[in-house]
Amino acid sequence: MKHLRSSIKTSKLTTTAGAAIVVSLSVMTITPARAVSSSGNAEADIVSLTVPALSEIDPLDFGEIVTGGGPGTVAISTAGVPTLAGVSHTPSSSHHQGIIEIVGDPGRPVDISMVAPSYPVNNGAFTMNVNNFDLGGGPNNAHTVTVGGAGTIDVNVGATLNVGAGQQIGTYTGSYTLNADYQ
Amino acid sequence: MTSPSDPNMKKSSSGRVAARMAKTGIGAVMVTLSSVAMVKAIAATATMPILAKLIRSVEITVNTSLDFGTLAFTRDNAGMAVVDPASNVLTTDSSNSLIPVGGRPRAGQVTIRGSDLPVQVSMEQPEVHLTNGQDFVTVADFKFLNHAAGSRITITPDLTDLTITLPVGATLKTRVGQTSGTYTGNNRVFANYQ
Repeated sequence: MKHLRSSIKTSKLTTTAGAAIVVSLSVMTITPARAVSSSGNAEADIVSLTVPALSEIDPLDFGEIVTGGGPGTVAISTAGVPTLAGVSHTPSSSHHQGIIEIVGDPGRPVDISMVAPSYPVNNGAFTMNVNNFDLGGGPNNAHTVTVGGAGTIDVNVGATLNVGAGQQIGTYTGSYTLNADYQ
Repeated sequence: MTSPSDPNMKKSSSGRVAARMAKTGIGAVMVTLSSVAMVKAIAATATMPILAKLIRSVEITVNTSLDFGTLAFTRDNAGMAVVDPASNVLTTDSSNSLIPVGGRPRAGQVTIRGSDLPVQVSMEQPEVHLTNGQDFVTVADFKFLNHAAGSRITITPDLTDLTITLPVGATLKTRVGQTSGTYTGNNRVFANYQ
């Protein structure tokens, strides 16, 4: 929980009679969703929000993919269900959707969106492309979720991995970036 | 990892300080901060990991056929001959109905090429018939690696070259009244990632 500070500098007011009156409203500390008033008949209506915090619960894992050398795709749904073309999973494959936890103000809607439509995963000099990210609103769509009463909500992330013809075997890693913003 | 995209709250257009002074007598001053409203939607950006492991499909190569060599037999008794995969040696039962007399008896050998993941290897049939066109002998009790391993094992290819070579043994069984001849047949080996 972050607090925001606002400072109103000293105002120097002079009466017509020449008397100098200095009213100082020094630092106001603003707490979330709480009106703050200061001395000197000052009034302030302040709305502030907790910065939504995003953290990883599970990585987006396309699992152990068996390739015969041809091109293929592995789509992981937001429920973690794979759809494969041209390749297969091992029976004990560890594939699953990404899961992200958002911590924010309870009951407040949060817009979530991808920063870019596709991201690479790399194995040294070798690369595959991941696209069609699904945050719950369908591939390539932004999505709105509402923070739960406990101040958190989990977001499931699906996407599609594109395996090239003759793709080098090995372990590929990468990352994706998303935004969360209060409506 | 989270970072606010705009850590500073913006003041709205109404965020102004209105100071009004009313003079009554010697001087009274009231300062009013009218409608200092601060509203800002704050965005967060986070980067999350992606993982994928690409592995080659399993390949099986038959390097050597399982061979019981040349066996002499008696028509009056059934007999058994065993090729041990570990020792690559043929032995016969104690009935003396089968006697090795030549040829080159040896265990079969297959090479599995895959990834650094466990692979289950198994024989398709528990027993098969070898035929000479008229008669048959039975080959059963297939064994990988050694007598204790059985006909279904799980192995992990060597990390260096991602291959492993498996010897295959079995037991040949003749029947009473068996006819002579050259008997051939086959059994399939399956290999799949676990």
